[in-house]
Amino acid sequence: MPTTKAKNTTKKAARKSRPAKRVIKDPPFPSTLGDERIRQAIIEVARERLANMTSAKKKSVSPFVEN
Amino acid sequence: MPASYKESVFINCPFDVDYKPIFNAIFFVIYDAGFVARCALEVSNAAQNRFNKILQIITECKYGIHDISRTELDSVNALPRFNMPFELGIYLGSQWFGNKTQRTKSCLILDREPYRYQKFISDIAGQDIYSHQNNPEQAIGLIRNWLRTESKRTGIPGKAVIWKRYNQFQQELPAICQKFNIQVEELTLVDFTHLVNKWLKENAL
Repeated sequence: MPTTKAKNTTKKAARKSRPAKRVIKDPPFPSTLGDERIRQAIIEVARERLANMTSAKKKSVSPFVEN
Repeated sequence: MPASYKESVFINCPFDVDYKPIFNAIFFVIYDAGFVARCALEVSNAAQNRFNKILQIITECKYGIHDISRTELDSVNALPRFNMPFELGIYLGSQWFGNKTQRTKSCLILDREPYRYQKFISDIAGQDIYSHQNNPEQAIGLIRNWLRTESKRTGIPGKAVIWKRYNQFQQELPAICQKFNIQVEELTLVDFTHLVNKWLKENAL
């Protein structure tokens, strides 16, 4: 079965050349603030930041000239 | 699932306020690279003595980062703090005397100036010793490149990307802490690590 062997080797080589997926690992100790609460806080802050950026952008490109 | 030996990085560095910018940057780059940072501060179990705790963590880590930049005379006692060089010695000893797994250990030694170590611990010549010049950006670059080379992992982001993300995290950290009614300076290592970890997951590349 030389064909199958060659095929397997190619697959293995392709797997090796593919960049390894980076996974963010969890700390080895439990959180005291609460995983879900931390996640929610991070999302809220990101939303607030985006909202601030959007409103700042709107202000800077306003086509209206105040008299 | 707990981090494996190959994913764990032992941090042997000062815990003082002046060192905090570099300390935080070290933790961030390790998690952003897909590894887990371990250090003596993580356990507050009074039943386990500090030395045993350090030995346990060293055994569980393939990688070790040792910052000897605070080996200097104390202004009060005129004596140097030897904890960091001591733990570095244990780490190198475990690498030499340990079993097959322990012999695969790899370590990065950091100092604030190049070649300063030769004046107080010249026996470590021949190890990977680099200078971060008390600069967090420099520390991030050194650790990122070392982890990339030693682990041969290809998915680790470049230094510029990690530094940019670290600055964004730092900008958002006070507002995140405010949601918990705490100050950034009041964060424990456990809380800080979880904030870094969750932030990286929510801001995935």
